[in-house]
Amino acid sequence: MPRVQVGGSLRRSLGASLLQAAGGWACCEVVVEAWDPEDEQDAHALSWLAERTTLLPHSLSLNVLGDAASALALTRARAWSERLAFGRVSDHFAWTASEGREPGVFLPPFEEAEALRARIERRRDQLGCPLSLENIALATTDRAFVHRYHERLAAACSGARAPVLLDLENLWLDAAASGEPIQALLAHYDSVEVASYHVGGGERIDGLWLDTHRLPVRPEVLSLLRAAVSRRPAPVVYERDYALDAESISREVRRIDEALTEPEQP
Amino acid sequence: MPVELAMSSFTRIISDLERCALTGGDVEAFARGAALPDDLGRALVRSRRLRVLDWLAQSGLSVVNVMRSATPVFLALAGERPINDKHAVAEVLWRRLEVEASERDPSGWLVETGRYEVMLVEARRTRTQPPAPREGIALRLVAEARIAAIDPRAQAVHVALPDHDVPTENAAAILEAALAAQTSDRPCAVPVMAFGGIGDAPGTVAELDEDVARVLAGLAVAPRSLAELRRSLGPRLDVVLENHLLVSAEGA
Repeated sequence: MPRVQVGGSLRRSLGASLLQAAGGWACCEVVVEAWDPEDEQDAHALSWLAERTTLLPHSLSLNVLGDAASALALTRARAWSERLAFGRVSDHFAWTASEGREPGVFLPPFEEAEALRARIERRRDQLGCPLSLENIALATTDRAFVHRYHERLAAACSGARAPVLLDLENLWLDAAASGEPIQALLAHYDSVEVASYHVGGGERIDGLWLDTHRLPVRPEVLSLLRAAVSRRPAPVVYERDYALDAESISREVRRIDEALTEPEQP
Repeated sequence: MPVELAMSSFTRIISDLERCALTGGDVEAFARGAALPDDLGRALVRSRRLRVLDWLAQSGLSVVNVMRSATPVFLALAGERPINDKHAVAEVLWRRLEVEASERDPSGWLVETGRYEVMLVEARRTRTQPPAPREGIALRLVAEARIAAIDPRAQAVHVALPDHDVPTENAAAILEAALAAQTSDRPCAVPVMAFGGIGDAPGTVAELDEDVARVLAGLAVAPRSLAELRRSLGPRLDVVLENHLLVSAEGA
């Protein structure tokens, strides 16, 4: 099993306790628009972190497949990219806003792969650095829709030469919701470059498989991760947006790391 | 698909989603209009509604971070009535959670803290500076001000509550520790007013003199002129004027 970096995602609300813990992770995801490069404390925090771990800049608001990116997200992504020499920023294979209205959800694209490729390239040019794109959870039983989404993601990213941030939890949720075998969905990504992986803990609520980001990683996703990393090593980020607790998050990061380093069971 | 068509679709889909999620609407119609499966439409509407709950928690309603029922109660509320006035939603949500709150804490401080935090959310309303009140005109309180009877010492519990969602297994202990921050036996309500700041200025939650509260609350039913207010309140009217809290009642 190749050795890969495993870490979590930085959350401002957990303050110094999570910042300290993150300094001990091999990698740490940072949502660029949540930190102000002009703010002395923010600049100090991320610079301190950058000296201790590999920062993986991430955004929720570049609106890659939509009309315009959030000006704040673009400005901060560019500024942090310059200040901390980021090699790449990740966001989602989705659109999130239009004409300044941003409802705070990820919407799957409705255009064909060629148009989506052009949008990726446009946003990358505006950003001034490479982009990697993450698959969202689709929460649908519609198998054709699920396949179409992943097919377009792979085609558009390949066409734009943009690597993928492969969210294995979201893929697992898509398989659970649609009844499609997970390997059939994974197959869409056979020929794409994987920049990194996300894992997290989703749930089934009110009949919907949702990426709630509030639980530990399920064993099935850990197995998927082991198989994926052994074939295409890349950094792994544990996503946790709710049920926040610095100790629980760090414990889960350690558990994932251990799962990737323990020998394969015969 | 031509770029112009795509852009008009983006705008239309966002509008439909906002309308459906925040003011009630046919989720299936939204999904169809966005060329999405129904279940994905439901997931998106649910997710959009929960952004309002996230906003409430970040705006001061910290009690929802330690009450697991907050999410399902909020979603039920969102399915029954509009939630586009997110400031007003805080009070409606807390009223629905009060029974559970009083069972969890018979001393009454959890209920009081929720009421205090509702005022914090109300104080987040932004407003523009109204024209200075003129003599001889019937005046009322600005719409962004709210008066209630609360024990402001609940602030001690509020400050001790986490400003983020916590693991379910830790919630009870965290709440217990926060309630320990308030050592008084029972809450004792006094008049409190919350009002939004003008422009970027922060809002205020402040204790009111009983007489001032009675007079200002009475303006909703019987607007009064500056002269009448000066006679009733004397120099205590100055702070009301300094905070631009009076507007003409004409045309209201």
